[in-house]
Amino acid sequence: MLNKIKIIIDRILFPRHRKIWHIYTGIAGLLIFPVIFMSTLSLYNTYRTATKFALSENKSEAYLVASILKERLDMLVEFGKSVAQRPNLIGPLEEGKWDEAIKAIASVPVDFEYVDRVLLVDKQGVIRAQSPDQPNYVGLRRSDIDWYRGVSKEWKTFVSQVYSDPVIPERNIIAIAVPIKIYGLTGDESNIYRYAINSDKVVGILLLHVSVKTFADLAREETAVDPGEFIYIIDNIGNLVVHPKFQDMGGVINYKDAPAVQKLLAGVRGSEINYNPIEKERRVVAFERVKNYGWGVVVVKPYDLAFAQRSQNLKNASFFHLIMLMLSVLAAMLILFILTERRRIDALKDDFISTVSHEIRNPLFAIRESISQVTEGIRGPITKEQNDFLEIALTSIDRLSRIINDLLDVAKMDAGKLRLNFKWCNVVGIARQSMAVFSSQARVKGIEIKERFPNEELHIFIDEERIIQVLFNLIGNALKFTQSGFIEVAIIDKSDVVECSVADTGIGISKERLADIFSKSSRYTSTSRSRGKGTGLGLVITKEIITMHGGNILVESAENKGSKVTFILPKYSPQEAATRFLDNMIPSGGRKKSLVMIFYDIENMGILKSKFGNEKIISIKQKMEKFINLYIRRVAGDIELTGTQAFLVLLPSLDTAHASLTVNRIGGSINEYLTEEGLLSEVKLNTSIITYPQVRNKNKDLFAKLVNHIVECKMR
Amino acid sequence: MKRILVVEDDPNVLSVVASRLEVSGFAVTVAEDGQKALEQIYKEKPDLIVLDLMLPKRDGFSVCNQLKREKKFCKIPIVMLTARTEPIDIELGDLVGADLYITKPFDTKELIIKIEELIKEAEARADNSDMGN
Repeated sequence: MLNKIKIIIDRILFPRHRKIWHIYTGIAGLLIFPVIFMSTLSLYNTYRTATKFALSENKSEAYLVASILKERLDMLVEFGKSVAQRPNLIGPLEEGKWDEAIKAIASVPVDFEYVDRVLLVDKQGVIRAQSPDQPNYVGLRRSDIDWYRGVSKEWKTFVSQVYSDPVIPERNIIAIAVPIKIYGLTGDESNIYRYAINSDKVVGILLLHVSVKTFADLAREETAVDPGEFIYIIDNIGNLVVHPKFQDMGGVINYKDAPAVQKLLAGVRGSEINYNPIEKERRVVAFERVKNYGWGVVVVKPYDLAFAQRSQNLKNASFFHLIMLMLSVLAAMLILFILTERRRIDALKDDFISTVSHEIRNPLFAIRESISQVTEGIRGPITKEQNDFLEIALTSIDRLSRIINDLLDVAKMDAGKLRLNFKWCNVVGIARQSMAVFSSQARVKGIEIKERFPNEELHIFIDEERIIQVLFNLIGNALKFTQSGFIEVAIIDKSDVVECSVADTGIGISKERLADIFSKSSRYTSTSRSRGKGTGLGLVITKEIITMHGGNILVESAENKGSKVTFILPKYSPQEAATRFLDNMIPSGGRKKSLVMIFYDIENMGILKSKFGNEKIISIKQKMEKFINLYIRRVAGDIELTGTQAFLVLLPSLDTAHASLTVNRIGGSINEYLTEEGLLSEVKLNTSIITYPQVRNKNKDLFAKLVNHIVECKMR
Repeated sequence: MKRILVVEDDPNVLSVVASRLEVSGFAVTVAEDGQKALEQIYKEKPDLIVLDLMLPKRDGFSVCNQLKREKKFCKIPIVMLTARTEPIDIELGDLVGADLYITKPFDTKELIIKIEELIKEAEARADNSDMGN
């Protein structure tokens, strides 16, 4: 189980044919992205909470001041009302004795610290008496000022706006105007309730002058104010009541253009961040209305101060997340480093294998050729004994060659360069052929090789040589590990697959080895336990070949009882097979991702045949095929397929530009030849350069023709 | 007797190939690198060239390319020997147009058959163009 997981992870991390970087970038992303995501989310949350907190802190400060302010105004109003109800005030006033009346309340400004001065005003708004005496207000007509209009409207207590003292203009005051009423028995005496409601008779107005300084403390001390923070108060039309920066300046300052004041006057309360263009700083401004009076309180804090806590929180959080991020990047880098390093070593190893294998070929070839020439008698007569020993040498060289080929196959597989040459083949015939090779060896060992085949030939679309290689490997292994009993090679024709198996009665495979018998990793592990010789690469190659055929391979084994290896090959329809053939020819690994082909189509084949006769046409075709074959480079896996009326050249190593050069050269010599034969105007040769798989979508007709051509060629 | 030039830098390979060709009835000359090969070809114009791909001084592609561009020599068939089974880089193998590629190790008897075919083909072509002229 653990082994299987290891193999799966190995396959993901070290794929053979795919670009490795996509996967590694993906892994790095998977590691880093969640950390970035979580950090961002958490930082944003911290930011939001801290901002909310800072703003609400300001807001509550404003609320606190507004409450105190309201209390104080309430108190002043209540005080005014109580004074206005004093009988010794009302009594003289009923008779119009202003001087006497004022005496009754003369002590108020002395007793009550908030009140600067009390004045008595008649119903028409003329000041009639005052206390204290100086400076003198008596005789002033104030009927156009807001408190008079306010109080006379319904004869109710009214708190004025801020205004300049009419006598001492540099002093700002507010006035509290209280109607002085007599509760007389006027009105409808028959209805006691109405009587009570309509019983007021106004005899004058009590006016309390309150200096704005009364409220200055609110803007300074009462609240715990941070340095740099300040509070100001406005009245109901936006005039400043107190503002710490405009103390004792005289004259009423209207502040209604300030954004916070505008909002207050519109009846809104809240907290916001705004920018002061004069002082060039951002500020957090909280504003709160004073209930019943229409006044407002504004708390202004410098931005940095208000958000000091937030900055601190964010700094702490950022630091934490930064460390997390660095750790995850570090982890990702470490993993990538390990992966690429392993990859690099793998590549180095594979490179080494292929270089060494190539280097071995020259001396191997020289040895084999020398011995061949001696055994063939070219270099003079030899004795039978000498010949026997040289034959041993030849056999050994051939085995060495096979091992090198195995190594190269694996190197090719790893580079994704193993290419299959698909053809329609009789798999039963191939199996018989492979078995025959081992028959003498089996006879020596006393082992029977049985067969269980269908009665008829079974044609499927495979690479004949590679499937022979697979059968060689499997039968060879079976023979190697079997001391007595038999080997059975079976082919079962199922509806959409062909099942081939090689079973033996040999030593079997242990469970531990069974798990990774096909994996690349097992190829370098010690093979001392398996008594056989060889590179151990046979099964790795076998598996790859079957996989490339779109098939599947599985092993069943019981120790000391025997093994059975089954491989399953799909049965393709001719069209599927042709497409598969083309897919297999697409170059992989390089920059090029498509297959370039040249398609020569003799369009008027039928007419030509009836005009010149079959034999003539066949010879013309053969000549053309020769020209085509002459110019394509056979080294690079180029393939030429001749059908009844067309030629197809597959050029897996060329791009379209080079293909068109090849077309020109081939076309040149074919035209030359046709001209010589006097057929140039007769043969309608249509040449097209095709790229696959692009052609599949771009030109369906041409593609269909192509597939039919491949089917025709490969079915033969 | 047809004259064949064998160009190969491995002296052992060179001697076994050359001896096999001699036994098969060809007149064989040899060269160890690309430069000497070209000099030899210009001097005596062989009927066929067996050319190794990896050569000192000038590699097989370079020699092949050079010859195929010269009118006098472009019709000499060239058999390219290579230890590589893989597609050769396009840049390297670009349009050099050897007539036959053979991968080492190969069966010398097969090589001889192919060589005979190529020489026959070349002769036929030469005859054709003579008639054309």
